[in-house]
Amino acid sequence: MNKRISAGMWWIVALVFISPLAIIVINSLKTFQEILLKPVELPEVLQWQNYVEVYKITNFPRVFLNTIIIIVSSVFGVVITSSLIGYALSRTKTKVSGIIFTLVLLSMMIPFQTIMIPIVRVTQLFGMRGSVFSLIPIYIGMSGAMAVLLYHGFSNGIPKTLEESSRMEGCCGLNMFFRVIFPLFKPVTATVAVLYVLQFWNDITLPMMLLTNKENTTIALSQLIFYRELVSSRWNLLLAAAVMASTPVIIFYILMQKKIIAGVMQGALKG
Amino acid sequence: MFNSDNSKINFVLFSAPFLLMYSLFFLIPMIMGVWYSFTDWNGMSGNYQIVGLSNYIRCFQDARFLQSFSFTFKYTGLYTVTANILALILAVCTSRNTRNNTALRAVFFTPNVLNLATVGFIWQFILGTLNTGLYKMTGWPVFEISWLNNKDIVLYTVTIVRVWVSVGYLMVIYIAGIQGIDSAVREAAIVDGADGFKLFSNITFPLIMPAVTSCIFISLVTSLKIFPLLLTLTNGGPGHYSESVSLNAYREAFENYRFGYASAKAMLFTAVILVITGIQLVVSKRRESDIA
Repeated sequence: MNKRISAGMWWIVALVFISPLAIIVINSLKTFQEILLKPVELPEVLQWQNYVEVYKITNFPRVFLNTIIIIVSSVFGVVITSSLIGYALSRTKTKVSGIIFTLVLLSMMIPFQTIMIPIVRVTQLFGMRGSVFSLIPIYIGMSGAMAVLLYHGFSNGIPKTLEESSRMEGCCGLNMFFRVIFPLFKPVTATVAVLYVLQFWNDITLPMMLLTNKENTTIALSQLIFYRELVSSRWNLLLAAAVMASTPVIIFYILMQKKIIAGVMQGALKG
Repeated sequence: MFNSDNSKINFVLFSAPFLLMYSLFFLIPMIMGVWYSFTDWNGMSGNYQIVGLSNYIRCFQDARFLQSFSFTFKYTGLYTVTANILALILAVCTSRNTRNNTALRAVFFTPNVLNLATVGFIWQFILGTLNTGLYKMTGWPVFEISWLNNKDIVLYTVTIVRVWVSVGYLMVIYIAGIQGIDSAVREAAIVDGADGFKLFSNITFPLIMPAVTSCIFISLVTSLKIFPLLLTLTNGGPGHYSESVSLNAYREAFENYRFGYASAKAMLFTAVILVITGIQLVVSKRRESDIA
């Protein structure tokens, strides 16, 4: 009996905790007047046209596609570059590898503001500013630290005899890595992939700096632009935009929930 | 592979892709940032002059910048304490792997997957428009609180919203710590008569120090750097009262176009973060080894 009461109490806490999301969904289906005059009531008629309008104004399909291109390429790049170096670092204990390791850790603490101005300059030099592709190499370069740590930790647990026996069979270097070691990385790769998908999906600072063209943004940035242009007015559209931008990531979370939570556990305790 | 004759070649081969990207898009920009901080570059014109330390000296005379440090520090302290206490409570209560607990954890983790700019304007709606509406309807004094426009309250508003977002994340790390405790140790303590709070303070808490270290580190770094949430929640207001150091440096660069000065601000800020997190890591490592 006591257990049931406490479980019930926790579920009330959980419902209150998550209620802001319900409030947003409900209000996104009202007219603007309804939101202002009757903020707590249910909508009289469901205003699906809020969503239609947002879909048109934000150029949703284009922005969605941009986001997917950026995420897929960046995650791919992070996985390849950090698995290689994470493995190499776990197998070499020299002064150089120590310095590299410290440099990698350093990038986790440095605030983005330190590199934001030079990054704008660098992308101008490469003629990439404004292009969605400009984000990909920068993400790979500046956010790999956590992935390196995860791959490094996992590599420490792979027996060295494995590479020795594959060398006997004449398989070495990169060839050996991709044939023998990389398949073993599968669980870490899955963790890295889900965590970085979330991170890149939600990042707003880098797109804000580089994607200067309003037509050519990411989902996260289009939210900010939309908000700034409609500020303090037309909450019905703003809330519909919020729901639209969050739905894909919420679906991703529901599908990958176990992997994401396990990934957070590993990432924090190994790092 | 790394201890044979061609070990060096292999090491270079494996590290090169990462190091190339890291240098081009992190290390070199960082060094460029240090260089800019000694100049008066405005971001537009090609030429600029070296002004020595004057940008740094100016930082200390800039009342708005100093105010942003004061806000950031107060917020960091308040957030780190509140978020970690709440996360620990949630973790202790949901640490056993029952189906009910797994579902509860999933609910508490949910806000983490949302975009912080979206979270900002969701809460701006709830604490602004919705709150006003509720006050008109009910007349209850609870809804009279001006969460976003009162300079004495805005610090708490930002903290509450940020705790709402990340308490689930910290909770998950604490749960990992608690589940890592050898169950024999707990059982022995229970046999010896420890229960409830005693069990927590004498057994559980000391044994999850690594998780505590991680969580405090993560809380410090993320709260010192607070930025995207503020863009849509308060936009630094009222006045500049909730302007964080990050927001201040960003505006200096992209609203005032003083790139040199903004770089100096960013460098000072980086130094502060490194010192604070450095102290935290040393202190908690020492405490961990004391216990072990």
